[in-house]
Amino acid sequence: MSRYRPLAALCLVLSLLVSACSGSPSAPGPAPTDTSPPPATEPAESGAGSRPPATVSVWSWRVQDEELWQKVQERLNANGENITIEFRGIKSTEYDAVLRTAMSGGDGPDIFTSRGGAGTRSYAEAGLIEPLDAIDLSGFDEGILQQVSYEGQVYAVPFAVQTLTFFYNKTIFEENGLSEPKTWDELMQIMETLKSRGITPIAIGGKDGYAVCLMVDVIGATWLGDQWAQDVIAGRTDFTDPKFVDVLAKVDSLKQYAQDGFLGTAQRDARTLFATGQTAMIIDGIWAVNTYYLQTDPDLQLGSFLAPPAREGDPVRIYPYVDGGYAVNSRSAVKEAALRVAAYTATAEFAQMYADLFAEIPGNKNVTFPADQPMLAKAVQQMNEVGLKTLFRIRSPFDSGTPDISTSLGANIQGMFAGQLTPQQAAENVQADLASWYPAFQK
Amino acid sequence: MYTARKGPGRYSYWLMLAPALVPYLLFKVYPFFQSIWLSLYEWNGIPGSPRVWVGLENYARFLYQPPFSTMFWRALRHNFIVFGLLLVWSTGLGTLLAWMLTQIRRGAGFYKSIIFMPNTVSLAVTGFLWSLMLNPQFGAVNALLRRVGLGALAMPWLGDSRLALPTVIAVNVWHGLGFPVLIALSAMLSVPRDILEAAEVDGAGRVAQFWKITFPIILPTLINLMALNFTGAFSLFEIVFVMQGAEAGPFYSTDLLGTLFYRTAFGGTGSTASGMGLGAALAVVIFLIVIPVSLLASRIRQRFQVEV
Repeated sequence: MSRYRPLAALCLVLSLLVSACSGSPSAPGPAPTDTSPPPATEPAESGAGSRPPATVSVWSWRVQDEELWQKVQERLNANGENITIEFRGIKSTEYDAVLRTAMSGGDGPDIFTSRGGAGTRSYAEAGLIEPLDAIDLSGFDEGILQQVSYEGQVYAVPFAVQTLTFFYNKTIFEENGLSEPKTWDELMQIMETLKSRGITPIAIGGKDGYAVCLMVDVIGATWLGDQWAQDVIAGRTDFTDPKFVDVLAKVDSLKQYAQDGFLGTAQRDARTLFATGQTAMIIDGIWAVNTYYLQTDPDLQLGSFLAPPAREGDPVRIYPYVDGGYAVNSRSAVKEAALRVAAYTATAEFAQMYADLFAEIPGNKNVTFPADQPMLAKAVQQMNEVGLKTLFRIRSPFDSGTPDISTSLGANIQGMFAGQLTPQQAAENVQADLASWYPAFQK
Repeated sequence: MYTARKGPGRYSYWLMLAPALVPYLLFKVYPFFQSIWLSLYEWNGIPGSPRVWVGLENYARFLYQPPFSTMFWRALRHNFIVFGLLLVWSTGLGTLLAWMLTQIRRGAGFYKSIIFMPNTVSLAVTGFLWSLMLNPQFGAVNALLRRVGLGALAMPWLGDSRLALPTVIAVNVWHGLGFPVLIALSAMLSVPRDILEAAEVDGAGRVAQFWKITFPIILPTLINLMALNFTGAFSLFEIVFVMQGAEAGPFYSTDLLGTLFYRTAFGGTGSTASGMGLGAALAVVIFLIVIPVSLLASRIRQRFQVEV
């Protein structure tokens, strides 16, 4: 026995050593909420080249943002800053895990795009991101800042609001004498007409869970509305409600009009089918317009409509959500520079650049929308006039537990599409998943 | 032995072992115990967030509380299906190919390189390329099937919940087939020529030679390969993640313990939630499944050891 004693001693020493090492960074934990933010957050124009050079790393799930950040760097440097921005785009589905791991290891980026709602709150709660009190946020609506706030303080500069709709190919519609549907039955009629003429009516990215969830958002916005969303969040109703089952049934009814093998199609490929005129419609987010469709075909004649209601003249709704915001890592070695970059992203100048580049709705409302972006102008108008105020899927409270609504809903819709589940069963599965953790469902 | 020696030098061998032992303890043993400890808490993985003691609750949720138990047992079943597929496609087909290589007179080296080639490309690249080829609209696989008149077989390979798992595993096997072939081949080459020649003189055909002589001799090697199939099946993650994403779609049809772990520990699609404690509990369960089987496999292998 005695010859194992040294081994035991070695183990003990090692484990003490390791636990000492791992304990220290997390144990006392600097409380960044108390430390007043550095004074260096005055507008960048006053810099005048006197500041030391700094490299600020920026991470985002929006891989298309590379060009944006290049422009930001140019503008900042033109304003006398000496800042180099190092952008890293990470695939959306992997972003959160990569970011969380990096932040745990203490080598996260200086600035990162944090998801709206719980995505920002959990980092703020842990004291990992800086409160942005010193930044001028007067250009933002209160409701928008709300989605990136924690305990009354704003923790990220919202960069975009996304809206989701049906998009259609105007050329195909015109060739077939079709116009935007005013009722759900008309939509079905359009689908039938196109199908009977050998045109694939709609592209569905059935392989991607997030893409099939967008269909629920778009149809649910009109058919469920604000009141239902408030009720389900409060637990006064749940996802097995016939109204929600009906939305799933409507989603299911679209599959007969999708391209062959749509279950194996990724949303990326569905977008290609739509943008190349191989299908007449698609359900997607406004961000896809410039980033995908017009990149594929700059001359594509695009139109959009919201999910039509049962009767003509009944209210239609659009699903808008804060995509995310720019948060500053409180452990950043170049925090002052990072805060100055964040301050720049709160300016109208940045918002204009963002709108021009992506044709998306920036967080800052002091923007003029380019005349050659009709889709964008329409989306802004729709958001202001018929935007949902309470959300039931992405950025809703159902997004912040495990299993989250998007994973569960996406998978169960795939099951429904494959004929393994009825809409009722899919709704029951989603409800069961959420009831396992959502407090208002646990009674 | 060493204990008989006197003086401080008697422990010097620990010093010699340290370069191997320290990293092992630091990077294997310590994280393992840490994950056991973590599995008793509820924690979202963000440093600074509160950890709540929940005892064995995380294990209970996976074993018998829906929806986690549904996901767990489904993923476990898929892992066993993968094991079955690997036995046939990897070890079975690998052995067959190795035997065929021993039977041909010319070009064996050429075929060996061909079979081993996919192994030199990273699995992530392989998965990506195959998902392009398997795309139902633009993919080469369905285009080829249609071209040769087998249009009826042109399927949404990765989108059909019955086909997705076998398809992904087939890609995985295609990528790694060179390894079992090389192992089986080297075992076959170790079979003494004189025994085989004697059998041939006695009139045994090629197939009889394989089953009566080669197979019993290489059996321990095959059992090793099967044990590797088992641990391989239970640690499989990358190929599913690359081809089907963390949701392991469609409708969880390719969900394995590895992807389930990833989703629970790190969160799903654009989700803001994660359960590090829950994930750690699952990691411990996976460990408890794999280790006994590996030990068992080494026992079985010893029983079939043949002296030649």
